[in-house]
Order: sequence, then structure tokens, then C-alpha cells
Amino acid sequence: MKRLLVVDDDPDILRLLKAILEAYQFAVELASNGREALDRVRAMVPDGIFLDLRMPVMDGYEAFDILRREHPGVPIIIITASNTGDVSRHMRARGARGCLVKPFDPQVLRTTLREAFGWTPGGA
Amino acid sequence: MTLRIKLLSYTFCVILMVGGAISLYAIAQGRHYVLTTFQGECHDTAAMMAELVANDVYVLNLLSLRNRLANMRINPTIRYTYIMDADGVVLADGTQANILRDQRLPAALGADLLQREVWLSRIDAGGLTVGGPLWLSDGHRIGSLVVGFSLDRVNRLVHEATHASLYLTLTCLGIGACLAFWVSTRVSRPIAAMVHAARAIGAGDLTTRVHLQRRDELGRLAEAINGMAAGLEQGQAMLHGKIAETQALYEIGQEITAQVVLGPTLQLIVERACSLLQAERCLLALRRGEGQSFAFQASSGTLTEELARLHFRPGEGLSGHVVLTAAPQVVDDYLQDYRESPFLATAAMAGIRSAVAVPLRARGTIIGVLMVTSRVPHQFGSDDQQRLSALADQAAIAIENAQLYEAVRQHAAVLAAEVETRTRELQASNARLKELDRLKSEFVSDVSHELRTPLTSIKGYIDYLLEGIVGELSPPQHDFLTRVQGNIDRLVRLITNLLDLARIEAGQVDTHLVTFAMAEVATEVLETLRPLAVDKGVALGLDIPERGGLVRADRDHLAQVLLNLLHNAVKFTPIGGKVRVRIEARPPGEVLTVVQDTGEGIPAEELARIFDQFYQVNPASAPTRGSGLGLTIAKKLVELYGGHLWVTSQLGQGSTFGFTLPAVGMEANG
Repeated sequence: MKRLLVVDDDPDILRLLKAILEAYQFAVELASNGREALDRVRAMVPDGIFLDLRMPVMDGYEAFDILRREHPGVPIIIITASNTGDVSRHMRARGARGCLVKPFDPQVLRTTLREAFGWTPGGA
Repeated sequence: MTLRIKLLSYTFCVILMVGGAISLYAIAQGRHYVLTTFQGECHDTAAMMAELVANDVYVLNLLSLRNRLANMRINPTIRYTYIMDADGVVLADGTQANILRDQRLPAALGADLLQREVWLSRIDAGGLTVGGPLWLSDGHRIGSLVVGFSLDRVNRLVHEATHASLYLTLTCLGIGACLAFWVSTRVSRPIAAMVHAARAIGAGDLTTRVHLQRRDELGRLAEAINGMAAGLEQGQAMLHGKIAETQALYEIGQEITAQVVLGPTLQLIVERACSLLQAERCLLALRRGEGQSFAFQASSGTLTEELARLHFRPGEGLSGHVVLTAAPQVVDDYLQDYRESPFLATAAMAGIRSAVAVPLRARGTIIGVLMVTSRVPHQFGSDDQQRLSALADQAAIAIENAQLYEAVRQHAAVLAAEVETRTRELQASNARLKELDRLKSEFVSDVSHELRTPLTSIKGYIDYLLEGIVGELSPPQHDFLTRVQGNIDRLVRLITNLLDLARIEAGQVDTHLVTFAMAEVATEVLETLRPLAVDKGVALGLDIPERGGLVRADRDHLAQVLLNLLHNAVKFTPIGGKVRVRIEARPPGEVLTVVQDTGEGIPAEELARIFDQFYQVNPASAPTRGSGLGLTIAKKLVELYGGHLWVTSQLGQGSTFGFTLPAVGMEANG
């Protein structure tokens, strides 16, 4: 079972993603800002990270840079409420594996999981 | 031929003719006299000889006759002589041989010699022949005597006399010539001098004079010429004076009319008037506003306080008098002529004794008075008055121009201030609008972001409820949640579009420029929409050009435009209808994309509004409601890339949406 870390300042979204991802057979850890995320990763390196960009304490951009530097092998999927193609292009250029624009369709999430972690419905 | 030569030759001809005639007459007379005298002498000689030989002829003493004749022939003038008897027979011929003895000679003096009792004489080439009778004392004629005289001596005498006469004549001619020369010189020289002078005067040298000390007509003529030259010189000097004055006036006029500001204009006028009239002081008064009061505004030197304070009305003092009569005034002695003036004391203090004052007239009204003054009485004449009047004419124009300029300038300043205030207000309001615009964009962006976050949760939970992740739903639950989901999706679209529009309007849209074929994007978009079209029973078609149709833009943006147009077309086309996309490259350098449907069409009155924000055509007929922003965004995006989007439609026949984009060549790829 793959372990994923979901980082978002909105507890409802954390709760939602935890429920869906667990339903999709992932072990899910949660963090509500960049600082917390870094602590979690230092305690245990996950197989993948869902990272929101606008957060208090430490935002997703800063956390992204540190995570990329310290754990370049861990795929990071950006979650953003900004719908311009620009953010997505920008973060992909810096090494993000995927980008989920809020609000996202279940189909898009499943496609992302398949592409990033080789997930298949009902499998793993 | 000059007068001198004419005079000389005429005089000489007259002298020559008169001298020649006198000379010829004298020669003829001299010759006649000499011959007559000689003839007389010869007669006397012959008569004396006849007395001497008469006795010998009587006694016929031939020897004595011969001797006597020989003796006679000692006289060199006697060439020959012979004596004839009463019958004309020669008795002796005076030669030793006496060869003519007894010969009857042809009558040398004619046949009547022998009969005539007086002495005859004849002159021929040979000389003078004298012949006459020989008488006895009793008066009996016994023969004749013929004597031939040589004319050599006479001829010599005549020659000498002729020569003398000729010499005399020549001398006279010489003297005459000299006289003629002198006379001609005396007459022609002054004439030449006068001609020279007249020419010089004609050429403009009016100082030329003829120096001739004569009392005759030539002398008077010279005086007349000198008088004329003097007159011309004086006239020319006057003319030059006038020209210089006119020139000075003109220059002053130019100078003062070149000024536009009133103060310096007035100062310049008084300074120039002062120098033009060589006056001590010049004053200038102007009407105050529109009223009847005048005040001194400028003075050469400084305007004293007394003068500056002084106001006068028409009729008061000298200046008032000028205003009242509208005529120039020359004052010889102010203290005498203006004893009644209310300004006598001021004038006396200001040192005004004599003056010229002229009105300043502009467009028929008196706008002021220009005055020059002197401390000395009787300083100005009518000449000064004329000059000052001429200057005043120019000055009045300049003053009026300056006053107009002043008015215009004040008006312009008011306008400029107004414009500046308005501009500042506009700038402020513009800045405020910009700020508001920025705040609006920021607000929209923030709101959109903040809305998305809760929407993500709502949409997520509903989506996964509907997927049955947390358990099966009853059919009504499923139905309700599906309706919620549809509205949530619409809300998301609305927010997304709002944010897009805000970005485009704020110029904050991010563009990722690439060169691509419009046909490629069209194909992709068409494929995306195919499931929807199949569901609705609408046929999709694509006409693409063989080559070309390349544009440079953000691919995603154009896909969004095309998706919007095609989605609308499919949405509003009923079952069995057709939606066609046509792309063509057309000159000059445009790529045209047309989306044509066979839908219900758009009413004409709504066509103009369909690009407005939130405007929706007949929303009730649409199966799903859009945001009302799609076309607005599409139009703005096309315009962002230099293109233009339009629509044509006919109710019941369908609609055609078209847009153009600038075409790029293959080489611009990348």
C-alpha cells in the first residue's frame, strides 16, 4: 500500500481527499501547511505528495522547493485554486508530476493517480 | 561739329573772302595805275624825242637822227624806235645799219597813225608801242615817230606790288585766324564749362557750380545754371530730410508694433517720440477702461507720482482739450495759454512750458493723448505736430494690439488654469478609475479563488457521494444530488469565466505563444465535442485547407474560443441538424475560421447584444445554461491576438460565427 501525504490548509478538503484516497487503497497522512508537511516527511518519506500552494505558516511554493531539493525522487502533485494554465505550466517546469485545479472532477483525480502512481481502479 | 570749330571756320571763311577780295581789287588797281603812269611817262618821253628829232627830220640829217636815236636807245626801257616821214617811209630805225630805211612798215599802230594828230599807244605781248606826229614849229607835220618800250620794268613793278599785296593779305588772314580762334575760344569755353556743369548736375552732383566772371549773356546763363543747381540741391536736401523722417517713422512703427506687451510698448513709444522730435520729455495718457477719464501711463525718463496720479476728463487742460477737439495742439507757452487749466501747477512743476499734443485714435475713438514738452517756450512748430501725429497713428495701432494681446493673454491664462484644473481632476479620476479597475480585478481574482475552495469541497463530497464511495444512494437521493452537481458545475464555469474575463480586461492574461495550424486545434476540439454531438444527433463536419492556415497565439486560448463556438452551435442545433467548421487562409494574410450551424438562429434585435456580458439568447430553450460570458471571452481572446470575431444569423436558418487571425508563414514556426 502506497503512502501519500496530502497538504492543504482547508480541513474539509483534507478530510475529503483522505476518504477518497483511502477508498482508492492508499495510506494517507495529512498536513495543514508547508512546515507540518516537512516535519511529516522527515519522520517518514511518503510515496507521493499532494501539495496545496496557498497556505499559512509556510506556503506550498517554499515547501515544494525544499521537498524537491531533499527528496527529488518523491512525486509531487500540486493542488491549486488558480485556474490559469500558467501556474500549472510553471510548477510542471519546476518538477511537479501533476496539477489538480480546484475544483476537480473525480475523473481527473483518477487520471492523475494512474499517471503518477500507476494506480488502477480496484487494483493495488 | 562743335560750336567752336563752326565759329572758327565761319569766321575764317569770312576773313578769307573779304581779304581775298580786297587783295584782288588792290592788285588790279595797282596794275592799272602803274600802267597808266608808265604810259604817261612813255608819251612824255616820246613827245620829248619828237621835239628833239623834228628839226633833223626837217633837214633830213639822217646821221644826226641815227645818233639821236642811238642815244635814245641807251634808255633800257626803249626797245626800238623809228622815224617815218609824212608818207610813212622809215627814215631811221636807230640802228647803225638802218636796215629799215626807205621801207614802208605795216602800220604798227594802225593806218591812221599818219593822219592822227595825237599820240597813240598800244600794249601787246611785245611791250608798249607809242606813236605820234612830228611837228615843225610852224605846226606843219613832217613825219611820225614810233617808240617801242619794254614792259619789263612795269611788269616787275606790278609783280612787286602784287607780292606785297599778297603778303599783306596773308598777314591779315593770319591775324584774322588768330582773332577767330580767340573769339571762338572765348565763346565756346564758357559754354563747354556750362555743358559740363549741366551734365554733372544732371548726373546728380548738385554741388557743381559754373565759375564765370562775365557780364554778358553767358555770364547770366551761368548764374541761371548755378541758381538752378542751388535750388535743386535745396530741394533734394529737403526731400532727403523727408525720406529720412519717413524712414525713421516707419522704423519706429515697425519697432513699436513688434511689441505685444502693453507696458514696454508704451515706454517704447514715448522714448521714440522723444528722440524723433528731439524733445526733452514725452508723456502718454490712455483712457481708463470704458469711461471718460484719462490717466498718464508712460513718460520718457520716469513717470512722477504727481503725473501718475493725475486724471483728466475731456476739456480739462491741454490733454483734455486734445481729447475734446480730437485735434492736435501746439502750445507755445503753457503758462500763458493755459492759465485757467486746473493742472497749471502740476505742469509748471513738471517743467512744461511749450508742448505738442496729439490724439491717439483707434477705430474712430480717442484712446489717449501723446505729448512732447519742453521747458523753453516756443519750441515746437507745425512740422513737429505733423511728425508726432504720424507717430501717434502707428502708436495707436500698437497700443490697441497690445491691449488686445493683454486681454487674450488673460483669457488664455484663465483657460489654461481651467484646463489645468480639469486635467488634474481628470488625472485624479483616471488614477482612481485605474485603482478601482485594479481593485476590481484583484477582487474578482480573490473572490474567484475564495469561492473555489469551498466549491471544491462541495463538489468533491457530492461527486464522491454520487460515485457511491460511502454507500449506495436511494434513487431520489441520487436525483437530488445530480441536480446539485449540475448547478455546482455551472457555478464553477461561471467563476472560471469571470476570472478569465477579469484577467483579459486587466491585461493580465498569460499567453504562451506558439505557431500552429488552426486545423489541428479544430480537429481536436471537434473530437472533444463529438460524444456530445452524437448524443444530440447533430452531424459535425470539418473543411480544412490543403496547406497554410498557420497562426501564432496561445493554443489553449484558441481551443477555448473554438470550443465555446462549437459547444454553442451543438447546443442550439436540434436533432438532425449540422454543424460545420471551415478554415481557410485568405489574402491578405488572414486565417478565417467559420462555425456554421443549422440551428434556430438568433433574432436580429439580439445579434448586436450577444457579445455583451451575461447576455444569453433565449436561455429557456437551452438544455443547460451557460455562464453568459463565453462569447464575450471568445471575442476578447480573438482580439487579443489581433483578430476579429463576428456573427451573422437568420432566424430559422441557423447562425454563422466567424473569426479571423493574422496568418504567419512557415518560417515563423516555433
